[in-house]
Amino acid sequence: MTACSRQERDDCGGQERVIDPVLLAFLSQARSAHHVADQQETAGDLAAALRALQGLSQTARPQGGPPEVNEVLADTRARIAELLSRGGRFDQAEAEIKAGLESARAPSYYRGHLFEVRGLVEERREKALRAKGRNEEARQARERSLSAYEEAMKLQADVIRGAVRALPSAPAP
Amino acid sequence: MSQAEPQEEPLAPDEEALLLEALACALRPKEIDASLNDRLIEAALASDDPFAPASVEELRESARLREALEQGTPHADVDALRALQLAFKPDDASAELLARALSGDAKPAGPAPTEPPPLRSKTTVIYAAFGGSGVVLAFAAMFALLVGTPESPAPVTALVKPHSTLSLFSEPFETADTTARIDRIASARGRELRDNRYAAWGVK
Repeated sequence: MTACSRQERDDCGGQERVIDPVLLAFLSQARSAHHVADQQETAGDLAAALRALQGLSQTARPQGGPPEVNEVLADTRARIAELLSRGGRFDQAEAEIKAGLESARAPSYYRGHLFEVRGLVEERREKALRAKGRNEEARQARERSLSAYEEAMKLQADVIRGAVRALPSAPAP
Repeated sequence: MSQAEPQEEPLAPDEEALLLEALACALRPKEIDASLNDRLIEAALASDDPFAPASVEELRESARLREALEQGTPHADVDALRALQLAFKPDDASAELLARALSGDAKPAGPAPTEPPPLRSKTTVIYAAFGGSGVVLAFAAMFALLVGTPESPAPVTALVKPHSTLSLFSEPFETADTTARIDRIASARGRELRDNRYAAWGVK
């Protein structure tokens, strides 16, 4: 930003990008969207909650793909998927999860959470299919659910192990 | 305040308290409420384009201020601006003025007092100088003592860059906690944006 302090804009472009008002504007927008979604969920209006969150995933984003933006979008898509699955829109939920996984490619809590939500989506799909007597499809959904949950647990365990390894070692007694 | 000249009204206690609080906040900014921070950012971004050309009125006022600074014509903001200017770029005259203020020898502008002021500590002199034209001394002394000369603006490499938010979290996520996570991310980056601004201005 200092290199830009003589310029009128804070955006230093792609070369020396720093935390700037553009990023904060996106994060503020995300914050508002989730709070609106909370209120709509509490009021029982899932459609309105979804609109608030989907607006965020479709809005303009800061250039350069800041990690914060990708991670917020991954978390947002996980929540959108969960809401969609509540309404029985399982294929749309899976599409959101796939898009979210594109934003969270590295092992992280964000990626683990998306797999966990996939497990939940398939679990709900299984129940819906069984209720219609489509038992073979329900069985396949159950397998996908278990596989997703296992992947989620593996990812979370990897992240926790990595965090523990990163801790400074205790001094020898 | 008892040392103020009869014709120069010292600051009222509540005004003085407000001024001191403002200076303390400028020196040691505290955390602000997260929702207030959001509203400030949104208001700033939603306000008129700060880079728009100056209006006729703005041009007229800036010309008046420039004339006041260069030629000494009256203007309400000149004293405060000169105090800030002296605090950041002290010249020989201001250095002497500051030294006198700190030693207790500074005299407010205007007729000499009818009796010599009693000996006082440096702190008391500064507070007593808040009255009348001593505001200039107060600003210069406070800034020079407490803020000091700003360092050169930080290079871009010293500013905080966008980075992963994973360090903010220590356990697997729950969907029900998504909003809380977004809140924490926005708050953390808001603090870092403020740090970047201070660093860019050369203020620690």
